[in-house]
Amino acid sequence: MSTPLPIYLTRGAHEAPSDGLCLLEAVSNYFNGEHTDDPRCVSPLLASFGRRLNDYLPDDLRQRLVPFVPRMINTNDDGLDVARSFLVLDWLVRTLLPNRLDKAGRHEDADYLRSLHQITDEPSAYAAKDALTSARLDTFTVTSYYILVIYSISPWTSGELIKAASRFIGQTADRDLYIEAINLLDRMISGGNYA
Amino acid sequence: MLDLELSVGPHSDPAEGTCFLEAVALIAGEPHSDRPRCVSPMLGKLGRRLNDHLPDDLRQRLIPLIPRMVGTADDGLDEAREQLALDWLFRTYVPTWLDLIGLGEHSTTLRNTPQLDDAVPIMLSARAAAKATADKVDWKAAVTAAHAATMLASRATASTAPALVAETAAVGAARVTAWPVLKPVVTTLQISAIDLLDRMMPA
Repeated sequence: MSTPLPIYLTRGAHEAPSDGLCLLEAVSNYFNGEHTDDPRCVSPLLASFGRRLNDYLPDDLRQRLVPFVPRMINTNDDGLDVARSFLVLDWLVRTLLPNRLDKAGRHEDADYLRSLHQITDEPSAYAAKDALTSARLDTFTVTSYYILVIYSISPWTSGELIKAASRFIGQTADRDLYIEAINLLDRMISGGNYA
Repeated sequence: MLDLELSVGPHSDPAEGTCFLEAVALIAGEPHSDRPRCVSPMLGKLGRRLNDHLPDDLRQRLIPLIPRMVGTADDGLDEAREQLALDWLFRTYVPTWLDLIGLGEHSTTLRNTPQLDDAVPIMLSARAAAKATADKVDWKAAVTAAHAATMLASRATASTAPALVAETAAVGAARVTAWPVLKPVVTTLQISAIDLLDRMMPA
């Protein structure tokens, strides 16, 4: 995008476009002019995460979602939802959890999790689970407990990963974590492919 | 240290173990409790009793349901849940016992009765038939089937249904302890009750 879209995003949902637009309403408006916060052209995982992230971000950071508006179109049924789910799981294990451990002064444990291989599929997901349950992280935090609960849910695309990530974002006031969440949505839209 | 494995609750401290509802409180960010505020009281009661009466291995099947319990308080779905529970009692729980003692006709009638209000006379005749079979089939199954029919005929309404589902879990656990021969069918019903809890929550 050479010129930014003339959009100012606000917390959703809105009765009419004149009341404001949230991220998903902006996508729908840009796509075919319809006013809805659940446009059919968007992957349900992206829609679910996008709606929540839009609502949790402070006003200034919310505007960083504007460039995503055209990119979210035609992501439904694009075959990337499994890859997107693993991106979320990877974010929970290698971004969110280390962030929490750092705050608790457990920098070595945080670095250990960051040093794990990226989670991109089931084998790497279960390798990370082994790391989470290893003696090294002998003190479970609520965050790691929640992540281990998520491992018991199938399929990966069920949406529970998105809800978990969103719940953590909704409970924080940490701008660094907000920015990491925006970066996650960015990676999710492209399905992790930067070829 | 928190243990992912669910155990019989409640626990005074999370370090001693976690039951299903305590795990819900934990991930919802609420104080340690087996009555988290974010859970529909009806689902909470059912979840607590299922947790406590399921055998250790089946109890772990509640783990994937933990996040979905969050936010069910005041979600407006409790009436629909009562209907699901009533339907399960009449169309799954009692018919399973009746089938076991060869009363397939009664269970078919029950499964095909559109209005559960009309099911009481069917239940009473099923109870009489169950008692009559006691000398022909395994009397332990017959006694349990008659008990199930009696319980529903006298006490089942939409509002009591979730509590009665919880009661079937307690009955099943007690029966298996006393009469291990009934374990296979009780296990089937316990798995079915977990599936019911699953269906009671938003997808």
